[in-house]
Amino acid sequence: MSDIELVLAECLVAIEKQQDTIEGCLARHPDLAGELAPLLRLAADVRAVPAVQPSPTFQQAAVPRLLNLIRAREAARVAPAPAAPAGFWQRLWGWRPNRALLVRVVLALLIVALLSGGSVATAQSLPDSPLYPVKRAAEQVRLNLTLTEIQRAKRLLDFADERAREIIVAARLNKPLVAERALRDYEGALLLAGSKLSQEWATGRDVRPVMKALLVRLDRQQAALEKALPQTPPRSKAVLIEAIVVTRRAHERASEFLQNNP
Amino acid sequence: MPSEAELVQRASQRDAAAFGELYSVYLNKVYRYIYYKVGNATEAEDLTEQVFLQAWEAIDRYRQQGAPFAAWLFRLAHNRVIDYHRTLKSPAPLDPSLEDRRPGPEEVVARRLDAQALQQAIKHLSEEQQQVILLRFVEGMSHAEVGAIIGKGEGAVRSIQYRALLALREILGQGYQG
Repeated sequence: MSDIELVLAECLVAIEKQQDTIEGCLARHPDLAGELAPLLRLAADVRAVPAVQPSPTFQQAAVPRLLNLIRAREAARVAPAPAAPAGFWQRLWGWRPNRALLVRVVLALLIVALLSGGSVATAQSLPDSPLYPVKRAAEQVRLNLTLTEIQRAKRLLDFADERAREIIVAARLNKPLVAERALRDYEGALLLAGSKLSQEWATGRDVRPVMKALLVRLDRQQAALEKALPQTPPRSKAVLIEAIVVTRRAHERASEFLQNNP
Repeated sequence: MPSEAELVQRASQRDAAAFGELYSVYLNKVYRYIYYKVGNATEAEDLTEQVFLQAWEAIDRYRQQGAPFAAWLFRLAHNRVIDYHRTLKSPAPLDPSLEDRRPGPEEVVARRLDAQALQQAIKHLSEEQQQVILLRFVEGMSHAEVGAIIGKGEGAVRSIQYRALLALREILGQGYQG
């Protein structure tokens, strides 16, 4: 370590402990004073920056919110997993998958897809593709890995972007039923994200920046849907138009929220 | 008033109320650290909550490591911010007030430093330099405490501190040219 590094560190500690001043330190080290002075002043200015704090609403609600989240997690941990209704799995194999096993299976499928160069194909798959369940399962895993509701809402908005892309591609390929399926999920993702953000707002979180970002996304989605309309075969146009209506409705709800909560 | 060690001990035995007290103590500090790293108040609040949820999940592992609780918590915060930047698709901040810009020298001289100018300036530093500036001068930690968080000795922290202040002076310009 060089002299200047050591002297600077000693002076900073002495000033912090109010055992010395900048001037005193410079007087004790005249040979280094030229280099030391601006650094000591800068350090003092950084220390003097007024403390940044979370918003008062966040601060007030923070501890009860965290405790609620923790208790919900603990309750979910000790409660037995709810029995799934007898359905496809039982009828087929007389076997019910548990959640942990399902996650492992999905991860294994993802690894296989990646190793076989199928990740791009999976990411771009449409609801009628054999790879589509892998893509949706991967989304579910990503959603399950989120820790907070705001993060979950943002992820749902990412998924809504992807559903909008699927609607456009399927409509262009004249697959109205496939586009219709993506449209239902698009609307579902937007509604669920909106409901999560409203719930967060009710518990004191400032979700307005996320709502503003949502408006930008919805504008982008609407522009992409409208742009795709002229190149879409007539039979599939109705789905695109419905998607535009869904997007506008979501835009209106988000705008209304921001107007009511400026 | 229970000590921090007692609260940690109780929290590691799944005492949520004790963990809530630790949260109250460290909420603002962790928030501040994250805020300077991401430059957005709402994101900082969300990430702060995520850090503490993660801490609750992992508090048993902390007990086994034996590092100071603050050091462990700031390390979690640091890793969370790294994950956040990694997954961030659009680097544009959501707060329009925090657009990416370096403060002009005249501006810095005129009003010295405020939180926004500091946030804008430190993001041009290296990851280690950012950590040392924030932990040393914003959080007021000692060289040893910073070293425990970033995994370096005190000597290395002093060197990084010197280089970080030099770099920050360079970024902030004329006001700190001596």
